[in-house]
Amino acid sequence: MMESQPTYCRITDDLCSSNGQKIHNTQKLPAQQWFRFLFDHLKLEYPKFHKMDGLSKLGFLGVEFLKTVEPLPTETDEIAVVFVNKHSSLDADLAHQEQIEKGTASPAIFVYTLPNIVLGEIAIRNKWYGEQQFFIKNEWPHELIHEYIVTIFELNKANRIIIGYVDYFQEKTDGKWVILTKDQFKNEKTREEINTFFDK
Amino acid sequence: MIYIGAGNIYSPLGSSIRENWENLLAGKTAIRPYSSLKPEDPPLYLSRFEEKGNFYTRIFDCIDTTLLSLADQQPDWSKTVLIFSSTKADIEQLESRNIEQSLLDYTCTKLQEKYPAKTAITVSNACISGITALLLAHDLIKTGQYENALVVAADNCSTFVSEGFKSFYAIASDFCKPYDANRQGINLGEGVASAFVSSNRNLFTNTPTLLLGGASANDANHISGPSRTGEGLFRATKRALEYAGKSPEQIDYISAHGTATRYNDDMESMAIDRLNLNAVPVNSLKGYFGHTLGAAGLIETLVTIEQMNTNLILGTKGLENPGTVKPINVFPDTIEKHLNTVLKSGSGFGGCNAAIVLEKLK
Repeated sequence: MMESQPTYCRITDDLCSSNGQKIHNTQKLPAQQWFRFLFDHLKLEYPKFHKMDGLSKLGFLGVEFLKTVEPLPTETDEIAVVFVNKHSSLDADLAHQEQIEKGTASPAIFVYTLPNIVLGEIAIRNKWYGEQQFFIKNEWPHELIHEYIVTIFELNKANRIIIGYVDYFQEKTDGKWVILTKDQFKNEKTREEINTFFDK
Repeated sequence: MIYIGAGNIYSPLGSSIRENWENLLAGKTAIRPYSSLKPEDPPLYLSRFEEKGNFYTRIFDCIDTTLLSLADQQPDWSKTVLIFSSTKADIEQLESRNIEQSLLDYTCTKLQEKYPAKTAITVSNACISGITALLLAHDLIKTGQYENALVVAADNCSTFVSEGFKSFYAIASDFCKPYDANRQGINLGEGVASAFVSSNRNLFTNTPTLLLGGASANDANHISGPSRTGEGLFRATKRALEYAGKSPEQIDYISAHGTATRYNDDMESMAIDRLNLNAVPVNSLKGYFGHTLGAAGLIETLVTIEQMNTNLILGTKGLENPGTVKPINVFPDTIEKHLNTVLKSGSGFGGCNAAIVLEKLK
């Protein structure tokens, strides 16, 4: 039997690719318009998207693109999601700080000053009740991510895990995702591939 | 078996766990009124350190005391992971646009420079961060990937956060009243906590407590309002009990979240009701420490361990007339009860919930 391969997705300022399908930002759209372009490409009915901050839009899109390649169940506890980034919610933090200085702090901005809000947006969209974790690290923590995946599968906390690097700060977009099953994670070559994908 | 011990708390109630515990038993609160950013606004009730600044001094002081209660005063760092729990760490650096210093990994890196663990990471899951840090520590050790975890949790009472919660109308204009019929919202707080989780019993000089693990779950409902049905907390607690191999009847006490917002406290009562835990004593410590955000989960777990060691359950400070949508067993004054197996739970923005189970070591 052929072993199944994990599904990957990558979103940068210029490109969105998931398992070979590529969409180029040929018009050099700024980040928010680029996210809108990708959202429209997916032809989704989901008005909540438009209220999200940049970080949440990016995380949301990454998972939606994974789903175009690999359909995933809803109403489940069995999909764990772990995201990592460097800047936490700094983009929203600065926006909130500026609002405070103007004396006009707003709940619509403040709520996004936590990095894990994107995990909540994804849970709401997909009705995923499973384990979630947000790590902050300047460099991709490949050792700890590997160890975290081991805990999820060995302790039977989920049967699939989405691993993501989701960073958005001042119009700079850096998103990488992979979804893995326990069987796929057993494959040494797949593990190396994942390390290379995130280390780049 | 996995143990938690050598816990220490540095809060406005005290600079050691002993001092904190004595003040808690005496029913003291660290919450005081402070003038607001805008002079025309009502005062803010906060649990704040007398002196501003000194963020790192307090963290290092807290951890150094934790180390002193280890057998060799040092763990084997090559078998140790350092887990830092925080929502916003030194976010006030943003006021002068010191971007680098405001970042969470800046703090985590400083910690690893001083405490040379093999790996170090920040977990940032809103108000459940402290619990998810303990969960991560437990799971990494349970799977044999580390022997020890140094878990450190810290958050500050910043204008950044208080102005944000104010914009949500989630702040009380007086002392907070968790689970009370007339509760109006939260009091923010600040503090630091540190502890070791380890599979090595001999790491600790004092008797440690068993950490049986737990689970996290999302409400999948709303980013800033908890689920009306307590969905995520219900699922997290149910899975935590299953994972720990415990039934609801074995739970002697729940150290709950109790932020004193209308929605949070009602949601918790719903989850407790769905788990048939209504008769189990519950408390919230927010009336003593305020809501210390990313530090709350660890501070409250360490106070829970003190309660287990003394067989005392602190009253919920600020509570006068219980008033949640489902009845739960809350009380204003300290009670005595033999405590063997207990739950610590929490919930936060992003719809996140987590629960862990602790057991007394016989």
